[in-house]
Amino acid sequence: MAMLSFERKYRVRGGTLVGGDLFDFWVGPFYVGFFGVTAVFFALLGTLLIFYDISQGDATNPFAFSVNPPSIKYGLGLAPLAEGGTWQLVTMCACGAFFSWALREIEICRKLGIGWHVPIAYSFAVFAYVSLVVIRPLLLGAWGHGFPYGIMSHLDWVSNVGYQFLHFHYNPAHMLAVTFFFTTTMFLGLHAGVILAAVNPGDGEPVKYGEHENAYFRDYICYSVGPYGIHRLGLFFALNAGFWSAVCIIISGPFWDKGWPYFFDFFLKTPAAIGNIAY
Amino acid sequence: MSTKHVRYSPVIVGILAGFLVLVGLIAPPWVLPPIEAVETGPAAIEMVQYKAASRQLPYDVRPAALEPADNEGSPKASEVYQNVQVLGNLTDAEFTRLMLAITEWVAPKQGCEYCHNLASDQGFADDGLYTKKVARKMLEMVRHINSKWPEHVAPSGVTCYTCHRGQNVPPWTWYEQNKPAGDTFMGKPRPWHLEAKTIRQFFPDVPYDKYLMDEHASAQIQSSDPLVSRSGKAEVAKEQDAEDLYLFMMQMANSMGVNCTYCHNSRAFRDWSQSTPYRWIAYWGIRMARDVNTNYIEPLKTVFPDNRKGPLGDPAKAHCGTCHLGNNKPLGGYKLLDHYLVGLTEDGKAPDPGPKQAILLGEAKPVAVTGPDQDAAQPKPSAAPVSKEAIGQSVAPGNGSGGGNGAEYKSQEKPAEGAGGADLGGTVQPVQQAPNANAPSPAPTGENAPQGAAPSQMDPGTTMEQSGGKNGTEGTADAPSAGQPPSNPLPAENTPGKAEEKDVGTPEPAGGAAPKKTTGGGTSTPAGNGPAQGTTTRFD
Amino acid sequence: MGSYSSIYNRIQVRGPFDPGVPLKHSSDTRIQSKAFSYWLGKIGDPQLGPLYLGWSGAASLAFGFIAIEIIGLNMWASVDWDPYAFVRNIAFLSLDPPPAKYGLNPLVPLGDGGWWILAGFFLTSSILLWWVRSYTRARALGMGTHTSWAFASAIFLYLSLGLFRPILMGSWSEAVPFGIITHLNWTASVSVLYGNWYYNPFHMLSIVFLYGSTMLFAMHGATILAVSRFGGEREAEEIVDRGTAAERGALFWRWTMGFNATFESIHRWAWWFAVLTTFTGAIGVLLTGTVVDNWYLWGVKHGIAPSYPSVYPSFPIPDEAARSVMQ
Repeated sequence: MAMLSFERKYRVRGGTLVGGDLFDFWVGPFYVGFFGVTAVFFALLGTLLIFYDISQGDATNPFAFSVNPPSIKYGLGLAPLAEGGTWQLVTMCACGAFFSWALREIEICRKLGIGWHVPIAYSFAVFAYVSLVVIRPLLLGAWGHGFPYGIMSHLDWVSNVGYQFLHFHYNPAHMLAVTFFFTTTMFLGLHAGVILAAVNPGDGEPVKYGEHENAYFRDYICYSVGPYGIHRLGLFFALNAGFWSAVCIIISGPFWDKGWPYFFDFFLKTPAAIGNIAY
Repeated sequence: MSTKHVRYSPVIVGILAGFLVLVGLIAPPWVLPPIEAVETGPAAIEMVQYKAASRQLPYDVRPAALEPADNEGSPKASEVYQNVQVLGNLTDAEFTRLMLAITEWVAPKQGCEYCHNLASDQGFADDGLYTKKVARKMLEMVRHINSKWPEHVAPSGVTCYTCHRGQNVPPWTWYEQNKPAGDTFMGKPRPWHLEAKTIRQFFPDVPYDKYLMDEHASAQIQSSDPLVSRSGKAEVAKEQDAEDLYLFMMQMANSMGVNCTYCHNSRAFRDWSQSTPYRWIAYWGIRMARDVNTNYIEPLKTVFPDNRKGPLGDPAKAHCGTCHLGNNKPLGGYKLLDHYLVGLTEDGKAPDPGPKQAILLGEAKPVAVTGPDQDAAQPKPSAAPVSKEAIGQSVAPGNGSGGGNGAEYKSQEKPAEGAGGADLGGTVQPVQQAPNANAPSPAPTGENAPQGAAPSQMDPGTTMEQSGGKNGTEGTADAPSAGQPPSNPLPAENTPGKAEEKDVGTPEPAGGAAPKKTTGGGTSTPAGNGPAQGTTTRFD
Repeated sequence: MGSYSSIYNRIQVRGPFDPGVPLKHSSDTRIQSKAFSYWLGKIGDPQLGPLYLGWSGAASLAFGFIAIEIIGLNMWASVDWDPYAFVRNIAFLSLDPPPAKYGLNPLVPLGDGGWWILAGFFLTSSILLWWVRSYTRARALGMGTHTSWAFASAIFLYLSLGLFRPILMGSWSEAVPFGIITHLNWTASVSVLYGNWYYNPFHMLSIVFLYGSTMLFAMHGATILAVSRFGGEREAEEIVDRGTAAERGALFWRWTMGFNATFESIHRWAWWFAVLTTFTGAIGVLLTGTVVDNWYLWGVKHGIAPSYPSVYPSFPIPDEAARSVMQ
C-alpha cells in the first residue's frame, strides 16, 4: 500500500542493531525494528501521561495546558504524581523515545547503506533537550529546574530563566547560538533559493545545474562554496546552533549564578583593560 | 606539492584556537556546583535565586557591639559637651559609646580626628571639619531611616556601618553623570566606559539619577490595556525610558545578589498579584533611597569638598547597593542597631516590624530550598526575622539567665558579647579585617575592588567571632532580636554576669577575660572630660 | 562514511580556474581575478571569484562602505579617537537613533542622531541595491529569482525594525541603534516594554520557523551528506532525473517518520521556512505599539496564559499617595 514505485527493491533484510530479524519489518511506510517498538512504547506511555496530567488540571485552553515539574524542594528525588511526579515520568518516557528514535535511525541508515549523518545530527537536538531537563537539573540539584511541558508555560519558564540572569543576551554562548541559528536560516534561504531557481528558471529557459549555481554565487558574492560544501556548512551551523544552545543553558546556573552582564567584569580586569590606566 | 611539504598554518590555527578555548575557560570567573537555589515562586516556572556555595560577599565583616554603657549617674551629653545638636539627650556614657562605635564603623584608622578638629580652641565642639557636619547630617539620616522607614528596614534597622563598612566613604555609591549631550559633531561620548573598572561602573548612572531622586521618572512603562487605546494616547513609555528602567532594575538586583524573579514573575512584571512580597519591601526601599538622597545627601552639596564630589559636583549618593552590598539583607540581617537604639533612632525604638509583618506574616518563606547547607545559607529570603515568634520575643526581654533589665540578653545571631567585652583593651572593639582592609579609603570613585576585606563566612552563625564553633543555626531564626535596648541604662552588676557567660572559645587575643570590668570602666569614664583623645584607638 | 563526508575536506580538488558559464543578458563582464584559497577549500570549493560587479554592485558597495564608515567613525569619536579604547569597547559602542523629541524630523543635528539617519539611509540603499543585484544576476544566468525573494523577506524585517515601525510610531527613537550590545539592550527593553515579547504570536511563529529552518537544514544537510557516496549533492540533476541517492534519501525519511519530501520539495519547505522566519517576525514587530500595547495582556484576553498556584498570601499594593504624608 504504502510503497513508493521504487521502494520494493530497497526493502531488504538486515542492518539491525538489536533483535536480529525479529522486528525487521515495516508497518505501512514505517520501518519498525526493535527501537521502533521501544519508541512507540515510550511515546504512547508519555503521551498518555501528559493527557492524564492535563486531565487533573483545570485548564481548558490548549495553550494553557501544562505538565509541570516538581518544586525544587523534592531535590533529585521522586515527587508525588500530582506534584511533578508525572513530569518526571514523562521526561523518562521522552528520553527513552528520543534515544530509541536515534538508534532506529541508525538501523535505517545501515539498511539503506547511507552515512549516519542524520542520527548524529538528531543526537544534537536530543542533547539540547537532555541538557534542559536532565543535565542542568542534575547540576543544580533538583528536578524542579527542568522546564514544564506546555505551550505557554514553557515560554513563562524561558522568560523567568532569562531574567534570572538579568539580561540573557549577554550570555556568550547564547550569543553564539543565536548567531548560528540566524546564519543557518540565511544559508537555508540562499541554498533553497538557488536550487529552486536552477530547476525553475521560468518560461522558455532550460533547467540549470551545478555550473549555474556556482556561477550565480560567484557573480553575486564572489564565492560559491559548492553543492557539497553548502550542505556541510549548513549541517555544521545547524548543529552548532543546537550545541551552543545546550551550552548556554548548562552554564546558566551551574557555572554562573549572577546576571550575565556582570560576567564581563573579568574583561575589564584582564590585560585588555590596561588602557584604563590612561584615564 | 611535494610529499615532504608541511603546512604550518593549520598547526598555528590549532594552537591559537586551543589558546582561545583555554582563555575562555580560565579567564572568566566561572563558579562551580554546588549551587544553592531558593525558589521564590510557584513550582515549574523557575522563579529561583542562585548562589554558588563558594561565593563570598565583599565587606561582609560584622563588628561586635560595644559593651553596654554604664549609664548610672551619667549626666546628659548636652551637659557635658558643647554643641551636641542631635544626641544631646543621651547620657554621657551612652554618647561616648556611640561616638566610639561610629569611629569604629566609619573612620577606624583616622579615629576621632577624622571629624573632630581637636587642635582648635573648641576641641570636640568645633564644627570646622566638613566631616563633622556630614556626620551630623548622616546621624539624623540614620535616625530618620530607623524611625520613619520601618517598611523597608525593619527589623534590623540601619547603622552607620550598614553603608560604611569601615570605610570613610561607603564603598558603593553613585554620582550624577554627564549624559551624552548630542551637541558634538560626531559620537556621543560615554566617559564612564573608559573609567569603569567593573561592569557595575560600566553601566551609566543615569538611571539612578532618574529614579532615585524625589523628582523621578515614572516606572510605569507598560500599558494596562492589551491594545493601543482608541484615542491614540500613548500608554507605553518611550523605548529609552524602558532601557533606563531596565538598567536600574538590573543594577538593583545585582546589588542585592538576587535576580528579577526575586520580586517579579517575569511574564508580567507590572502585575502585583503575580509578584512576591519582596517587591513590596523593595518598593519602599526605592522610596527610602529617594528620601535620603534628596533630603539628606544632596543638601550636603555645599559641605563636601571637591574631592568628595562627582563630575557634576554632587555628593556621592545612595542606591540599593550602598546598604546591601550584594546581600539581599544588608549584613545578612545582622541586628547591630539593637545595641544602639538610643542614639540611632529618633524614638529609641527598633524599627517597627509591623508593616512588614502585615505583608509577610511569616509566610513569605521561600517555597523550597535546595543545595547543601540550606539552613545555614544566609542570604535566604526566609521570613526569619519577621516571623511572629521573633516579633513576639523582641517585645519581651529574653529569658536568659540572671535578672535585670535585659542584660542577659544574648542573641545567638550576633557576635558574642562576652567575646567583645573580653578584649576591650582600649575603647573600641576592633573590626576584624584583613590587615589591608583598613587601607586609606579611596577617592570617591564608587566601587572598590572588594579583595581587601576578609569576608566573613556566609552563614550568620559563624561570623568572624567564631565563638566556640558554629552557632546553632536554628535559633538564629527566631532569636530575640532586642530585649531592652542594651544601650539603655544598665546596672553595673550586669557586666560580670556577662563575662562569665561568654568568653568561651573566642580565638581572639587581647586582654583576656579578667580585666574586663576594669577596662570596661575605663572605657566609659573618660567621657567626662576632654581627654577623650586618649580613648581613640587606632587599628592597623 | 567515507572520508569525503566529514566536516572538512581532507583532500582538496584543485582543477583549473572556472571562469563561469557565459552571461546571457548582461552588459558588463566578470572580473576574472583568479584566486584559490586553502582555507576555503577546507570547507568547500577552493576557488575564489570570478566576480561580477556591475553598476548596482559598485553602488551598493560604495553605499555600504559609507554606512560602515559613518557608524565606525561615530563609535570612534565617542571614545575620543583613542584607537585602543575603540577596539576594547567596540562591542559596547553605539550609534543611536535621534531622541524622541525629534519625532520623525529628518533634519536632526548630526551629533544627536543625524548620523544615525544618514547611516540608515546609506545602509538601506546599499542593501536594496544588493537586492537588485541578486535579481539581475539570476536573470543574467537565465535562472529563477527565488533567492531574491527570500532576501526580500529579510530586508522586510530589517526595514520594519528601522523604518516602517518608527514611521508608524511617529518617532525615530523607536528604531534599533547600530551597536553590538546596544541592539541587544534595545531588544530586551522592547520585550519588557510591550508586556512580554514571548506572548507575541508572531514572535512565536518566527521562532518556530527559525528553529524549524535550523532543523530542516540539519535534516537536509545530513541527508545529502549521508547519500553523497551516491552523488546526492548533485541536487538539480537528481531533481530532473532521480537516482539512487534521491531514492535512498527519500526512503530514509519515509521509513523513519512515514513521510518524505523529494529533492525538489525539500527546497520548497526550506525556502518557506526561511522566508517565514523573517516575514512573521516583521509582522510581529509592526503590530507592536501600533496595534498591541501589551502582549501578555493580549494573551490573557485570549485565555492562553496558564495560571499558577499562589504561594504567598495576598498583600495590599502600596499606595504612593499614602506615603507622601510620612515624608
